[in-house]
Amino acid sequence: MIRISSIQLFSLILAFEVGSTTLFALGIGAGQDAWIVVLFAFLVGLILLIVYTQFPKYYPYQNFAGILEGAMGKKIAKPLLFLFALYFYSQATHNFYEFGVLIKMTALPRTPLIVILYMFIFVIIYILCLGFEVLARTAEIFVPYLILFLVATYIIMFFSGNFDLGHLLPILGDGIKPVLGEVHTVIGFPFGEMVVFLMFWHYVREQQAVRKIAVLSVSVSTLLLITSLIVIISVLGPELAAYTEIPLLETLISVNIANVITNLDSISVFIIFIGGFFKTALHFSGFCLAFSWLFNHKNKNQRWVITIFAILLPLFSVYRFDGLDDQRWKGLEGGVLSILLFSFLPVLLLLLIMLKRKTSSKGV
Amino acid sequence: MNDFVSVLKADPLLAFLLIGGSLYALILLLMIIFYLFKLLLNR
Repeated sequence: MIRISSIQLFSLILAFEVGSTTLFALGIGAGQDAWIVVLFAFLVGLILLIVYTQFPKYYPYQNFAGILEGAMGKKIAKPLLFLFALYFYSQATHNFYEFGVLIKMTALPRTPLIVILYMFIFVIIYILCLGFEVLARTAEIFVPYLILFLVATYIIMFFSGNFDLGHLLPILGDGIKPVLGEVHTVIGFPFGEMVVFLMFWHYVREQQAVRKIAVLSVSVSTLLLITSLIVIISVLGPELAAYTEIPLLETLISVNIANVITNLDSISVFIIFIGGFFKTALHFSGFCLAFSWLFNHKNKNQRWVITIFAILLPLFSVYRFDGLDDQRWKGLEGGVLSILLFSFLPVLLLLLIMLKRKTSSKGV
Repeated sequence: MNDFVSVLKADPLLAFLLIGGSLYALILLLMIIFYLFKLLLNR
């Protein structure tokens, strides 16, 4: 039976949350107040997280398909599970394509995109076929390096000479409106994306600790995100941060300490790869679980689901997106809405479960 | 609004997810209302 420890869950959530988001200037539509946007979104994200972690409290060690069937009956639950599976696959293509292109841009400019994507997916197939525990252990190994590299970049940028906290001023110079106008995007990405963990709660050994670990991990991730945003804005300024394709990469490239510490883009590539890997792997794993539960597949058959759909993933990603601009356009115009929709569905589901429990306890 | 429609046209999977998800949100809301009524009527 697959069981993961609390530290592994912590690492998975951290890798997932920090993952890609350090590479984008989140909430930069609010200019220099982007970090306040993240702070507001975090508060709403915490409420969502409390909702998600209520499921393992009500149904410890029970998988999401079982919970759905218990709450809504088989006929209504299965189409919803199918929709969740599709949503996870859609998110996986977004992450997968984005990271493939970013790796092509930063590290392998002469390699065809499809080759990069297939190299990427073969690692994911290998790890997922070995089981979810292996993915969790991989996270446990890599996350300390991810944190180390991130913190190292913050420190290096602080001493680079380009760092100017004055870029963050004036705080709330245009009032609260631009901040509130951006919050929904950040609630969706990355906090709403945590909905994928509903698929994995039942793997955690200590079910009572799920909420504590998740809240702690998301809080640490938010701290890293806010620090990252402050550093990016302080080095690039709000305008440049908004127009740069990969702000963290730009800031790292600009670092030159005494002609000794230069060309730090390799650190950025490491962060891109680790983040992209875990975001894609977790979304894809969520899809495989939901799809297997849909047809009551056992673990043996799940390997086939993983292999077939993983091999199709690069082809579908390339078919779905014409380029990074197209992917970001689709992600920002509609993708965020789909994340918001699917991250708020469990809230309704929890309300339903609570009402059902109340009616049954009253013997109605 | 035009941008939103054009993104839905350009990405059928997204359109399917948004329409399907909204329908399910409605179904869940109806179920919640049903159980609320059940609770209220049987007090």
